[in-house]
Amino acid sequence: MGMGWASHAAEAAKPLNFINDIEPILTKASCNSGGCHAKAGVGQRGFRLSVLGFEPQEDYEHIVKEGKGRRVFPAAPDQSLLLLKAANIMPHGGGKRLAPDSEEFRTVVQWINEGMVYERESDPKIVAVEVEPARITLKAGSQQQLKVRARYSDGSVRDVSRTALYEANDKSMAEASEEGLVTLHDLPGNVAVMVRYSGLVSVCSISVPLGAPVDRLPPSRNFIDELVFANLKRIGIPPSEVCDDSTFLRRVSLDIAGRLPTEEEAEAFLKNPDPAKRDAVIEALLRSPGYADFFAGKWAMLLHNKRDLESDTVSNFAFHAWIRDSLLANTPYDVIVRDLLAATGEVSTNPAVAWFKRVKEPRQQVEDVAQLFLGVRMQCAQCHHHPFERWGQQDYYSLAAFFSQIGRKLSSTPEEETIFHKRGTAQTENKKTRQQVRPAGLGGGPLEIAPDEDPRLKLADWMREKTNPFFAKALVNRYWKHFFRRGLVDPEDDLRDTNPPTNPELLDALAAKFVESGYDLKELIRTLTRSTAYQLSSVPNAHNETDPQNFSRYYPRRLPAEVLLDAIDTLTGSPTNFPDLPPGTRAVSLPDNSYNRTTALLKVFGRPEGLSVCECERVDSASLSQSLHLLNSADLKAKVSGPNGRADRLMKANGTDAEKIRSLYLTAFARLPSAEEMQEAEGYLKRSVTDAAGQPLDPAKAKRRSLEDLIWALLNTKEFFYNH
Amino acid sequence: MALKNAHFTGACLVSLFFAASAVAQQVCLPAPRLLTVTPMGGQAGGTVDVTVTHQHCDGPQELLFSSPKITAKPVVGADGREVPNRFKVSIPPDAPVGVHDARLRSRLGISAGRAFLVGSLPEIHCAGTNHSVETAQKLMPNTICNAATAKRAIDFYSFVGSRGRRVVVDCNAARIDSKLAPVVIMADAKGDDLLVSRTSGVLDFTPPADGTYLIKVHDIAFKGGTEFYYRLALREVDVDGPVQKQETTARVSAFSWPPEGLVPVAPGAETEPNNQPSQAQQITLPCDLSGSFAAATDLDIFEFQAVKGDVWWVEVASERLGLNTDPAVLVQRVVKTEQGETVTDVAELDDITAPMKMGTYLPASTYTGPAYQAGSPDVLGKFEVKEDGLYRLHVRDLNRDARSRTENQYRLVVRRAQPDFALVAWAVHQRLRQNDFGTLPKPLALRAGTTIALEVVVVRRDGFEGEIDLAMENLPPGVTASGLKIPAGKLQGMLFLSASENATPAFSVAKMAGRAVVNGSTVTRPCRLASVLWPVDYAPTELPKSRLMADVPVSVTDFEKAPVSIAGDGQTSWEASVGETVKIPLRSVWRSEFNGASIKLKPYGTVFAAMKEIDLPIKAEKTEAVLDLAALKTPPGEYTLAFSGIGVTRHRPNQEDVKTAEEDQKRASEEAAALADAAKALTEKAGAALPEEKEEATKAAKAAAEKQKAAETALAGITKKLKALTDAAATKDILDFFVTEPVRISVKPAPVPPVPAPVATSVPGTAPAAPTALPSK
Repeated sequence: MGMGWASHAAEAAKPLNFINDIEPILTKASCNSGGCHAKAGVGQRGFRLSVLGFEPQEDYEHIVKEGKGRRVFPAAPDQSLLLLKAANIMPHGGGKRLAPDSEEFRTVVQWINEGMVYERESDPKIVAVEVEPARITLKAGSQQQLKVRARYSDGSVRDVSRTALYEANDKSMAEASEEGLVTLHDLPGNVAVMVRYSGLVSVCSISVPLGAPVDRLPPSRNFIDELVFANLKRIGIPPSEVCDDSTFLRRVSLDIAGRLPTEEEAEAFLKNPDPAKRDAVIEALLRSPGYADFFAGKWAMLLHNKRDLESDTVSNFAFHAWIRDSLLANTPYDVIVRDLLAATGEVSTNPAVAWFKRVKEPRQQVEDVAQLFLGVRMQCAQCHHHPFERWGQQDYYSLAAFFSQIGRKLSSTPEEETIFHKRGTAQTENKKTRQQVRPAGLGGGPLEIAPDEDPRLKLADWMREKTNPFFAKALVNRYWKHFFRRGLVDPEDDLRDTNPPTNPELLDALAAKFVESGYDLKELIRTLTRSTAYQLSSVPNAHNETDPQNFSRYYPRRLPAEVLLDAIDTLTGSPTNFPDLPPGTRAVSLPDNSYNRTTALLKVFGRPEGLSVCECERVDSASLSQSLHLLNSADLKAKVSGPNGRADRLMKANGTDAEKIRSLYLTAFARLPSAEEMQEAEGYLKRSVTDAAGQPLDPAKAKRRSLEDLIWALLNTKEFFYNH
Repeated sequence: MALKNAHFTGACLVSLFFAASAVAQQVCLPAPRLLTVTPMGGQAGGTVDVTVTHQHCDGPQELLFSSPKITAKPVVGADGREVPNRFKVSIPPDAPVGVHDARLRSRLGISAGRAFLVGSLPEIHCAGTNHSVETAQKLMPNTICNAATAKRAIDFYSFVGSRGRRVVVDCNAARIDSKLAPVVIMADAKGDDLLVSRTSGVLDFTPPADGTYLIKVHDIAFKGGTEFYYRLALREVDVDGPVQKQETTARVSAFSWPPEGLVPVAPGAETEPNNQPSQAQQITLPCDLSGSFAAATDLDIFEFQAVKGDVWWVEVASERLGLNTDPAVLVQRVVKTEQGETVTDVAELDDITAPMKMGTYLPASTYTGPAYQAGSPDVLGKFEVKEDGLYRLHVRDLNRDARSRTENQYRLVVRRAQPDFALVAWAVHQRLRQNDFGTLPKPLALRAGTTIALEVVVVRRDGFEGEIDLAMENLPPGVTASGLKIPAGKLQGMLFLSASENATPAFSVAKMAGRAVVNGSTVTRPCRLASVLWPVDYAPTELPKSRLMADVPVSVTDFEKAPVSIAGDGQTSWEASVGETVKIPLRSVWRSEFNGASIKLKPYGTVFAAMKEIDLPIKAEKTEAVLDLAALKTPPGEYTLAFSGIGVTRHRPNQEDVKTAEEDQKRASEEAAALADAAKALTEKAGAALPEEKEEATKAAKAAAEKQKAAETALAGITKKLKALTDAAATKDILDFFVTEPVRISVKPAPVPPVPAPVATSVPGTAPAAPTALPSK
């Protein structure tokens, strides 16, 4: 850059002020981090600062005036308690944050010396932070120094690279040093480094190509493929092949309906020569109640359908069913959200009101709505400005004001209330400013809402405006993650400037299509699952094994707890008996979390309890107890060897061993066994078995036991408990 | 969260307490209760065999209906004896279609009503084995099926649908007293769901193709049993025809609708669009119109001119029509200027306040009042016109939201004051002990020597504040009623029903009414009776539901007499002057053992509330109620005074049954012994018989042995029954409250003090000595 940014030193002649010169130093030195003096409510040892300096006025008061000004010593600035502690000259729990010979230390001394100005009217104000480069393509393993400049209201520019803070959004791809030196690791893809200075943020987007030749691409079936493949081409990652029919059928059945394809479905599908058969399967699955059951379970947990008391049962059943019925009827997403947010009445006539029992406090309403439907995490903004975001307390309370007119009365259902709209002006007090705040959508101005109008309806109206930058994006990103394992923005509910999508064009296109379709959820799933990108094999090629985020192949994942239980029930032929529900009810149809207590497998494999609005409550990771459960839990043993189970039925059925093995493979994997597998399995079923005393078992008993072993072995394969 | 846990723990402790105490002590003396009638209705012009389930309705039974046209006869078994709990119900063609109350009369008297429907469609009764696609019960269009869900099961029905031929499925349950919260699902032939209704029980479905369709029914939480019954109607309906639903019972709140003299059909109608002030519908006052909240977020705005000084009463009925609505009215004054218009709120009118606060079990899980909602979310209120000019009236449904519901109608009446009142009563349920979470239906079934207390509440209309006299007529012989007044301005009073100590079994349909002077003339208004529907052990998880009964059945029995009768000693009315002290002797007749030392009697009503409770020692024949009218500050007036006290009686039920069974057993035992002797003799005879007689004798001996065996089997059965009856008749400690027979007290104004002699000296601060009250009888 030839313009030559004014350095901090060059500015030394100008009198310093707190906002522009001192607060950034405190932030860089982590004095005002959440763990230190910005610890909520208390600070450290009586010295309190605002998180990341978002409240400079308060910080100034605390430094200069609190404790009779004991923290600063204008007569001998370098002997100020503030500096003695920061330099660890006096014992400091936080250790040494500023070296006495550093430029920052000297700046603080100078500021005290100059009379500790907060801000003069004539002082320029910061208006923007810019990072250079803002977008760059770099090779894996390389380094890049970032430069940061701050722009001020008087047109001046400062190089603040030294004082800015840096953080990569994917630490497996890149790391940024305190000085802004970015080091890339070996992984190809897109990574963003967030730069923070004086309450403002900026992002450097780095593209790390693998650089492999991409000369053969599978056929594009829709815009998803065009945009995924364009990205792969750009960064040089060749995609895997399209998966085979068995894999597709199993994958799409698990992803849409949360179940294995039946043996009959698998057999028919494999035989079917119709080139359009994959689309036909998607249609059939979307029509089936299994789709509604599976997705209702997902939403019910996010909407906190949890059972604390026995008396919650009816409302939990009703609320879960309401979601399920809405999905079954393919009610447009914006309508579902509107029905939920503006629900009135009582649970027996409008089950959607149950949400207002679970999410009772306006605080939780705001945070849940923001995170779930807008993909924005507002939790921080209740107390302080969101550190990575542009949202502050005013935004928070503006959103809360939509929920300010909710009335509650007793209802005829035990422990449930009737929800209604209290006529009146919608507003909420900003706890910081003590001012009443009118409702406003994120980033929008205050809305004029007549006292007769339910502000919640206005919130829903704002959400479904075509131009709403969050609503559609948050949903398509969430569903993308459901089908592709990783969000285009990840975590899927953390959309912000500083966490950019790996494929922004694709996210935009999906959102636009979703809006255009009238928020048609089935159409969205259709679009996602019809794409070649979704149908790619999970088997990596020579180049894409390390690609974790560009969707150059299908990323396998362990089956969610409920789906796994249903799959085990299907393969073993022994359905689980759930309390209060009709025999034959599948785990994906369970209405609430109470069954996690009655069915150990659900808990062990991480079925959520409905505590959090975040999908991350569902535990995907592997654990020893999971392995032990699959290997030798009593439940599982009982299922494998149970009367009327699959082993029992196969024993009683006519047919050859080969036919039975074929049936098991079709059920478990939606594919036929390979010749080798068949040979091995046949051999196993024919072997002789001895009992504990070493006496040979009679052949029928021996075969029964071998069949049980075979089933047990199949369900302990990764191929079984993974969707791949 | 902490609170919840605490609550939960509390609930657990409570149930432990219950479990422990239930063995030792029951709550409330047995009262006859009809639980279910299966099937729950029938077609006009037909007969139907019904089975009833009940509590405490043993012995000879009679099934009665609120419509005398419907009659029932006991089913007679092959042995010529009446089969308990089974009846053949005859419904003549002219029996009114709709809901009637069925009730069971037995030796303890009459039960409360249970809904019984008369319909115009053919009916079937489904046995409840249809829990899978394969076993689906076939249903012809235009039939009604009576059934009940089973626990953790789904009932399947199949019918053949034709493409484009609309059908409406209507599952009538909660509104005919059932405990079922029905989920009704339309599915394809495989059982895959197509359309679901979970809130209304109604499915409006047009088959997309010819073929078999399935209807699935289950409880929202998969509960079941005979109390989870339903009537499923499948009707073919014209493409644009209205959805016809089965009749339902009336909510308690409906007693205050309609106002006397209101025409059945509103002369006016609301017309859309009127959601915006600019679209306001022009009306003139007074007005009476029907409207609809049907459209999502509907707001109905009306505009009218009003004159300064006018007072208008606004009444809206919607919830009381049986809908799940919560109407609210806003009246605004509109001043139009060149700059636009300014609008000021004049009145906001909302709910009809409950005259007696309904009991809740939240948050403390304790009984806080009756299980009856006599208030309503509907609107009844007034606004005063302070300035001539233009006004707007908004009607909206507080339950409105994004959903559209065509069934949500309302009636809006704006009128000049027409003072009036409406009454409803229910038998008192009193909290009997700490952590009493139960609620029981209390039929007006009196034991000889008993008094039953009823709470009576009033909704006062259009500023009527006068006192209301309560009375009952057409009572069975031996039963009398005495009423407390509902005092001027008050919302609550009491009625007492007393059976004389020597009353004999009788039954009648009585009438309750209130009488008051309104605008100078005396008016009489009926008083409806409400009842809880089911015995509820633990109300925090099963809120007691209630409804208006069709009429007021009253019975008296001498099968069991009151464990204790407490009444004025030969005198039922008293006279006194303000400030006097009245001593009322009370006489007690004890017919049962009681636990404890005494019963503490507390007066009913607010007038004597400050009175000290009376300690009535168990077995004491006499006591005295002392009313210090000076201390109680009782103003002149006519009063009814009754007391109630809680006691634990040692109840010995059904001794008759045991006696009869003992006699049966004795007879059977003698019979068996005689047969055994005979068989023995024949066997011996056969042993000693000559060869030519041997065959015959052996045959006779064998036949006798078989007879003996049969007699022994019969004896075993009778012995088993005797044991069951003896167990049931074992003495039980029962906690209940006992009401004294009321007495009347007429309090006269204080006599005018004699004119003081001009020279007499008076001592300041001393009141004249109270003269002894004189009995007026």
